[in-house]
Amino acid sequence: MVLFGLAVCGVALAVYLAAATIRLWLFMDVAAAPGLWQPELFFWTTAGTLFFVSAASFFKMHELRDGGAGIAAALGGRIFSPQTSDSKELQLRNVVEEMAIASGVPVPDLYLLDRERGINAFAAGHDLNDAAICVTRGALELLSRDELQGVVAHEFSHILNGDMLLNLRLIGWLNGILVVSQGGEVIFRGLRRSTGRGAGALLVVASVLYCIGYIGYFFGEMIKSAVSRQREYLADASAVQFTRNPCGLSGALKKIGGLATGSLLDHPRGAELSHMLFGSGLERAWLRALDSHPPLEERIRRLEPRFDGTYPKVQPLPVPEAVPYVMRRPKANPEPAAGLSVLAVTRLLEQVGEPMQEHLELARRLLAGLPGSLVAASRDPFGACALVYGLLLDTDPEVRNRQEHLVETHDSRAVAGELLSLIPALDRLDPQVRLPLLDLSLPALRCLSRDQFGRLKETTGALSAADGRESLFEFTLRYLLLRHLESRFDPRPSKPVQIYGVRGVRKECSCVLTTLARLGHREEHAARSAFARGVLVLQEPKADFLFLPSAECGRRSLERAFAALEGSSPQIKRRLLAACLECIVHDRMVKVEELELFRAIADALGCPVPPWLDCSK
Amino acid sequence: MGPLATVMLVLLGILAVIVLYAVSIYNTLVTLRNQFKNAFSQIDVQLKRRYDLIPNLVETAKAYMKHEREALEAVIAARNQAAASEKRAAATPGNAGAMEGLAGAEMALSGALGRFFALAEAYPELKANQTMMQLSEELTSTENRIAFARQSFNDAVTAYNTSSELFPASIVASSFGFTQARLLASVTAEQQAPRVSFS
Repeated sequence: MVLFGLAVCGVALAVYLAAATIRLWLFMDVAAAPGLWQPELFFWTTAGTLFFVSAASFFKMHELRDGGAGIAAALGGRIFSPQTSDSKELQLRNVVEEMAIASGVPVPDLYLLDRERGINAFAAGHDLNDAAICVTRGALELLSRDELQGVVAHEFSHILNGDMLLNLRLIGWLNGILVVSQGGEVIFRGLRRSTGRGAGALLVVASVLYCIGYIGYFFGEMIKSAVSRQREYLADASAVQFTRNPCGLSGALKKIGGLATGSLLDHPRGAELSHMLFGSGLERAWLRALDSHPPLEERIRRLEPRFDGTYPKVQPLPVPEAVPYVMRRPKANPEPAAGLSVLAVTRLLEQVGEPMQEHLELARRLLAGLPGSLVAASRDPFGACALVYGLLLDTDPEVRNRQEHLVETHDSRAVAGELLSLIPALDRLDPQVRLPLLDLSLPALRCLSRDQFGRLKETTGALSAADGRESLFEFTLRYLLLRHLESRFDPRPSKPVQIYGVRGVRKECSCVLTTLARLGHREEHAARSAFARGVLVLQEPKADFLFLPSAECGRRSLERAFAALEGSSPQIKRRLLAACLECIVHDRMVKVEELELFRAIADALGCPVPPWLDCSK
Repeated sequence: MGPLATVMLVLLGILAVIVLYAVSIYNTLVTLRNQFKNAFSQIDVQLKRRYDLIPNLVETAKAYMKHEREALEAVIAARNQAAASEKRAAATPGNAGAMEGLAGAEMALSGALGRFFALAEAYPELKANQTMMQLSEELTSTENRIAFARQSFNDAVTAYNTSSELFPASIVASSFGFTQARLLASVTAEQQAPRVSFS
């Protein structure tokens, strides 16, 4: 940010100096030549430069507003179709779903670059809601499952670390600087046709602009590459942390080294996105400081210190490579099977954004344990709608009847029929997998049209109000659903951090903690003491936080509190989540509902939490 | 700065704004077009699934309906016809000819299937066959999915058509070849009157 500001100032100053010099030179023979310092000229050149740079930056960012899906489509990506029979594609889908469930992130959109033969992948998008992962055909066909998992974990680390937003901003800003040199180029081209009195001066202006812009761009590119190289190391390290299997990632990197086409992208827009890719998408730059990725050998060495620098020969496509995947035997689960352990819950906070290998195992088991009919339903938009309605069904047969009728009137008879076929599987469902099921359905739900989304919104509202009151689970489900889908239909910029002190959001914190305390404790005094324990963790004067009457922490105020908390600093979020956990484990008893609400809170704050570890039985 | 230069600067500014605006319209149109193309792939998936189911259905029925060879062959022929036009439509979603061809072929297929099921009523053993029950259940479910996906596709096409018709987007649309896309007409069971003949 600071570097960028300096770069812009440098460009503005350079433009001014150039303009002043030219003016001096033009007025050379006139007696009343102005001095080098001309405030008026300075103002105009600076204003002009700033205007062009910011307009260009803004414009580029606007273009990138569509997030991950837009970028994937720009590169010619094809959206993954759930009913494909291609086993490699299905494998990729499974790998991505496991990783998403393990890190508590909604399953991102999956795109395939069918025409790219190199091994590469990228993640793009502004935040977790519009993330997309894009994989080339070469990566799909040439990598084994473990290697693919390593690559996907690398991309997930980019998503979780917020690198995508950073990358998008970098592209936007750099475009701002680049526009100065492009301006020079445009004038050049215009001059070729015109010969006149001002042409000479204009030529000088153009070449000066071009040079300044190019210098700015050069340094900008260097900043970008330096940032990008560090982020790549970080993502490699995180990928190993997620999968606990350095061989997968290093294997993938080695195959890039062994493949003649390596990780190169053919698409013309590949250059623009070079620093978002898994492997370098371009030929090596002539200057090492301009490379967007660290050298391959260096990356492998960090994963495998004994790497000798020889790459395996990789047969390029279309000869498919047959690497059998050996299932790693799942480790015996050392945790006690019954109940949710308090210890596992207190560890949740350390795991925000950092899924471990255990989570991957858990996710794999979770997915394998889900009824096939529900998983199939979650993968197409029609079934996913029915599934969401099914998750909201009441246990009381009378209310349930009414709800089924509501689905028929608000949505359609066909969806109601689909819902009926899902009910047997839904009734046997472990309550702990309800939210992971929602995560699984999100990619399919993103394919709804605007009208269909409107109906989904309306019907879920009617369903949760069918028994006269909206339970906390219904609220949580609906909140997560709308939060993740609304950004698809009317994208809003993510909220900037505005609040730096816990006191700025004390009312909201009270509201969240009170709700959690009341949820976990039936008696008023027990809830009160849990609340007090939570407040203690916030490390602020106790008097600031009031245990609210239940009327004041309804769904509406909870929603408002979430909205306000979103704009608070990471430190506040961390402390609040710690306070929430304290509140949950206060009575040494953890309910599924409490953890679900905790997940919703964490999600609202933009800190995805992996599923609690000992829910596998 | 002379007045001429000021005027030039202002004009240049206005021109820049117009160009930026046009580019943003262009990008919106591309996004919308990609959206409806992706929406068509949803229909595509379900249609293919339906075309895969039908031969199995006919194969199962063959053992029972020995005297209805004609009706069975008609179903298969209609299915092949529909599969061919689906391929054409998938290559150019939104293309008027392809969409109409697909809608027509689908209508013929639905008609053939309707006659087939009407005939199957006369074979109680066939109706009780486990595989047959499963297949027809799956077929119904797939048809529901097709209807749902078509709705989504039509909404996306309408959004694209509307924004490419509005002024000033229409200028950008016509100069960069954003042609109007065609909706996929629906062939629901309600619209098809059953044909009864007493011959």
